[in-house]
Amino acid sequence: MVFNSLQFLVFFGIVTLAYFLLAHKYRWLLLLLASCYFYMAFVPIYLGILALTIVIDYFAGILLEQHEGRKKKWILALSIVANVGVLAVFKYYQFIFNNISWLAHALDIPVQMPVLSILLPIGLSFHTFQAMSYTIEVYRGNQKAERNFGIYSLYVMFYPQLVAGPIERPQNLIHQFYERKHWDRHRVQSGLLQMGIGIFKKVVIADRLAMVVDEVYGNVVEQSGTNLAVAAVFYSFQIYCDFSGYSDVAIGAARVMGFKLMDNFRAPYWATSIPEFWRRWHMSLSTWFKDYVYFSLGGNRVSIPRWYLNIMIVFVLSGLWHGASWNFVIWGSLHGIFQLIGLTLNRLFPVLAADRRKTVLGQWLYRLLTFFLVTIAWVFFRIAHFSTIKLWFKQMAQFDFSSPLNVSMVSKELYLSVFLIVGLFALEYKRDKFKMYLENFFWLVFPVLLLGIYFLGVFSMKQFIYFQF
Amino acid sequence: MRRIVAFVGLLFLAFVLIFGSSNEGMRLLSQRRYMRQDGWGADKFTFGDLYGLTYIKPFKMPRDTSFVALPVLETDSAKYKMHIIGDSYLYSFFSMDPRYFEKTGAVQFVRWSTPKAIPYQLAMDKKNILLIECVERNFRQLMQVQEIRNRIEAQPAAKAIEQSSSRFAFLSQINARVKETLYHPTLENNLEFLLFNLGIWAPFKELKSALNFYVFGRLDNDVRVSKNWKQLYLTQTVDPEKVGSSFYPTSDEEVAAYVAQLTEVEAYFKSKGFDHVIFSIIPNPVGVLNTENKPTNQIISRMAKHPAWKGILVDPTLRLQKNARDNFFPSDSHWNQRGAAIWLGQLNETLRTL
Repeated sequence: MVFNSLQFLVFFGIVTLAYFLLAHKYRWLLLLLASCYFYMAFVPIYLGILALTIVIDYFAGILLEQHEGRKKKWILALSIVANVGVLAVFKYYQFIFNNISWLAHALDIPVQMPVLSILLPIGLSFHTFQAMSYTIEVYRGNQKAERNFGIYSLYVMFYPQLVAGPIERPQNLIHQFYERKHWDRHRVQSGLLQMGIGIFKKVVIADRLAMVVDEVYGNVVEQSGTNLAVAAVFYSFQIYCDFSGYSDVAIGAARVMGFKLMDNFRAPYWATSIPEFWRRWHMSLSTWFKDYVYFSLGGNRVSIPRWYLNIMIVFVLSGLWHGASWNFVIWGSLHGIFQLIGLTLNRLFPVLAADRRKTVLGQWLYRLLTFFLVTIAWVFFRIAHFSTIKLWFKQMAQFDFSSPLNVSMVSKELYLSVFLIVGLFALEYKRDKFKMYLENFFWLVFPVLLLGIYFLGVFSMKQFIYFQF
Repeated sequence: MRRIVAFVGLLFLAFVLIFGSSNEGMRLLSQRRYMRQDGWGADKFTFGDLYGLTYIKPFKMPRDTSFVALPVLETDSAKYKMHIIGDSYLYSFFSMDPRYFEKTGAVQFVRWSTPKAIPYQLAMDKKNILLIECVERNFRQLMQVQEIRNRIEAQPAAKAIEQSSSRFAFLSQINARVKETLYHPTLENNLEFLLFNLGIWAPFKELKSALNFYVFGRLDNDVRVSKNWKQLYLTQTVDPEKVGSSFYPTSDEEVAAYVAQLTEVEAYFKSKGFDHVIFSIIPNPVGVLNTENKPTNQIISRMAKHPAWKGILVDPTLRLQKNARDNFFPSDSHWNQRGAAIWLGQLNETLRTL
């Protein structure tokens, strides 16, 4: 069930109204059933996979609390192996299989592995990471093991963030299921507004930009450098509006019912460096990697070569998390390399780093450079085949400033697209203040937002990009 | 008070979801809603099915109230039983009534879109005629032995078909069963019908459409405007790259292959006891209305005139081309009752000669 569908609209209305009408003690059950219904709309049978990991992690949590020392470590390891194992089978098996086959073929070694032609359960990476954060936090003693199986299941299955995050931490979410939520007009309005903004980002901006992006990337060989450059910039904003739009709907839907989910984006294209970009982009994932992988490897409290290695490990894993394909690994690696270059340059030329903090012009230069690097990296994210990526760079090498943009979208709509991008970029500068203004004028803003969605929206029922992960 | 409002809202949405998930509920509602002429009536297909896809106001045609009185024929001397398989070009009021067909005493009508086969029953006291009708854009895929058998012959039991060698077949069966039970396959469309297919929304839809069409130059992918801006067409009938198009380049070898395809159908059903098999391919509106200033592939007439063709093929193209605009709606993919009457007249002439 996608957020930009009528099914979701009706589903959300029913669940929310029933939630407030029901007595507090039955609400978790309603949310759990609703979450199952929501998830089963994709492939019902895959609920079984979620159930399997839920049972494992539920008991692992209790056992972790009851044991100490080596045994505790083993329990955690088993739980992580079970979660990663599910991910490996469903998401990475084919990737591993293809690479082993390719390598064996290259070395002329006969290898036979069973082919597993299965569809990746939607949102499995999100679900698995959220489940792992529970056992790790219980292991670290930051979270008590949840005894109520239903509440634990709800923690990993809560429908607003089930298929594409934000990837929550147990300390933030589980206790909220026990709290008695009341109807609060301001909170409901704020939630609805955020949902509206999310849908606007998705259907008005992302899906409009997708028309150009899909046309250009669908046939790279016949595109001019101008077309490729515009499509690359458009894709940067498409994926941002697509994913942050999803997060907005998720956070807004939860807020309507009184739940506070963590922020996932904070004006990422305002970042003036790659590390800052990652503090603003998909924050629930980047903090996950920081908390559970980077710090576990020693973070920056190690030798410089080891520190650099830690950074690369985190970014390669982050690339792999996004998809079982080499282009995602390269995308992650590129971000890691950008970080390492930045760190090295800052150490060699501290003046440059200081400049960034001083002048407005310097900040803008760094901002543009960061956007440029991120956009180049997105090319690897968007194009799966190396031959096409090669072609992209080849065509770009012949970039001709005089060649006009030649896409089927008419100029008026292109101007509108650019206006929307610039508008979004500008409004995000004072994001929180702007949001406050919008909330104060809810009864004016919300209808206008709905009209904007209806009249300017591109209703192609396009899935959210991050659903594939 | 707040709880009452919430309860009413919940009931309304539950009602929408339940009706949207029920075939019976949707049938009942759509019949009633399409009969209403006020703002609460359904309007998507009332003013032309292609208008319903685009909502371009200049193409909103008046409600079709034109009724062409078809001649009611004698059934006393009925000597035929008509078995018809056809599409939405055949109006229900005549396609199921033997009085509109020459020398016909009984009619059995099956739509191509039938969800399950309706087996034919040959009459013992009459000659059995199989009429296979289809619009030009679809005939290549549909006028094939297996396609027709799937619709008018008894099908083997479902269990035998579902037997699969896969070890995990039972899982996909469970999956399909759960999905079928919980999520109606056309739920999204049904919800759109229930919530937004209302006359009161039409001005909003027309405004959005106007913005997309006149400002952004965009139209529904399935629809094209004719060169003279007087007609809407289905894209697949005008795009020369689409196989169902009237402009799709078709070689003589391909025409021969289609003739062989139809000959095979005729032979098969004659072997099953039918006395005559009549084919009728209805030309795409664009092939009749001549609005695009370019030659069509003339596929129906080329088939009819092909030396290898020995069967009966009713081709109404030439008759429809006389006062062509009177025979079609400007914003519908179908002909109007006049067009249907012309076709029926031609068919009856054919029946008289048998």
